[in-house]
Amino acid sequence: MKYLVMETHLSYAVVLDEKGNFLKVCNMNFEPGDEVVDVIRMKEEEKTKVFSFTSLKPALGLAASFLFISLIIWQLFFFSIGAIGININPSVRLEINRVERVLEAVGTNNDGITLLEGLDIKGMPYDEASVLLAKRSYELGMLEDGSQVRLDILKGKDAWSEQALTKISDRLSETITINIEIIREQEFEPIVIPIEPRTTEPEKEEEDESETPSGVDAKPEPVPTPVTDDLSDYDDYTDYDDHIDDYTDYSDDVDDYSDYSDDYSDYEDDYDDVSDYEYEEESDYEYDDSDYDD
Amino acid sequence: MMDALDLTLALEEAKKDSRSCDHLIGRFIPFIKSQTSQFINRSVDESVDDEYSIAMLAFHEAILSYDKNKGAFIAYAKKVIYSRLIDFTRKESRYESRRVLDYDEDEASIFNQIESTELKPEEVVSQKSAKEEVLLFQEELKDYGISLTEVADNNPKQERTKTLCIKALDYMKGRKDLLEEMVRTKRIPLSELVKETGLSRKTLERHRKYLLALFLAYTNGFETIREYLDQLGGQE
Repeated sequence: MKYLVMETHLSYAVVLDEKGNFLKVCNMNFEPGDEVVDVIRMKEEEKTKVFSFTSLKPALGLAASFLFISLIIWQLFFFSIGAIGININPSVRLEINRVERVLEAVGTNNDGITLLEGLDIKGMPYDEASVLLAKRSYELGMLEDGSQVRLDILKGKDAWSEQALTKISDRLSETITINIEIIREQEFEPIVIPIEPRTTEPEKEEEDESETPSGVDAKPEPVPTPVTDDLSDYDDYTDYDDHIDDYTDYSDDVDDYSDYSDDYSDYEDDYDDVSDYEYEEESDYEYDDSDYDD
Repeated sequence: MMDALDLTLALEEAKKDSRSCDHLIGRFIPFIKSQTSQFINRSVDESVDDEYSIAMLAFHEAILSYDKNKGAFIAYAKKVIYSRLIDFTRKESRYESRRVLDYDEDEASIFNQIESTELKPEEVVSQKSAKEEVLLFQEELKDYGISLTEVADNNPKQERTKTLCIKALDYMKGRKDLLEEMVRTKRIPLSELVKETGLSRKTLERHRKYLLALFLAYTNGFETIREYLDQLGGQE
């Protein structure tokens, strides 16, 4: 391609090419008006900035820091390092995060779900949460004097498990004023924590008494004591049990049938290869035929 | 030599203004020569050695691309000059090897023609005429308050924009009255162009300096420049 030198400077020249472009090129001792065939173009500062990893360093550093901080936050607050099962009668599973707070509380039975209703223990230290659960169980009548509280480690490392169980049992012992037996599931031995006996009766019992209608005899109706003898209860309370002989009792009690109880059904006595129904059908046919004949 | 503060100020000024840039380059010629001399392992002959021109261009590029937060200018300029000279040497060696491989009689005559420094008498006249024309063109452009360096900086980067500019030129070539009006008022008749060509006013305004140079070439007395621009028709 040919270039017409249009302007010269100490370090560069402006040339016009055959495509109508005015270009800055290296001034190889050019003079204005010179026609040249080979030029070395000047690198334009914007264009010379090629993609490089160095230019992305600040952004990458920032992104890496953000990721790192996010990971730490997630590890600390949103990653479960263990789970504790608190079984009173209501059973509750507490997921615990690294900062020893409750990440999630789930009722593992119906009472557990009831216990957690309206109770916000998420984010609470797990020992405080367990005390709160015990107190609420007591209020709802689910925990009584002498009840057992079983603590299970459902998930977590051994060192943490031991620490968590100790922490919860200590805290329950310090706080709860009724006699409860705390069983640490890992040891398979109940630990009885000596606690001062409570002075007042649980409110639940009072409420039960007050619920009884006044003027009505509160004497409970006699309820037959169930007998467990490897047989179903139905057999025990019916007449049939007297005749347990691998045959149903119906045949024994129905008089009409019992007279003819000869291992043959009564219908079979009148069996003559022609059923009564068949006769009726024959007569119907005759009637129908007559109609068509007419 | 300059102290660090003076140099920083001079560099900032040189980035904005081409004359200041030339002035700064002039003050650093010994440095540029020494760098070139180190590279070619001999003293520099300014009129012969292309490496010296390349080093000058590289120094100019270093001025424009220098960032004071990234270190000293001199070290940066050395690095840019060295890189440019390496690129040039590699390119030249490739060109030389290709020349040897593709050599034949016809090409030999062409190379001889191109490389010959001695011009025929008619060529000397033609070159002189072209030089006068180009210098006149520079003077005319000055009347519009622009330089050819600014025109080069305003040159469309994208081919699509370039095509739009050529479309505007094609329209102006057929409208002598508008060219005369431009010479008289020293302004591009933008409204007329937008109305008649349907081109975006924003595009035309953005490349005003480039368009002005193109339009000016089609006023009287710039035949040599027009020879280059007349070939643009085939591009459309």
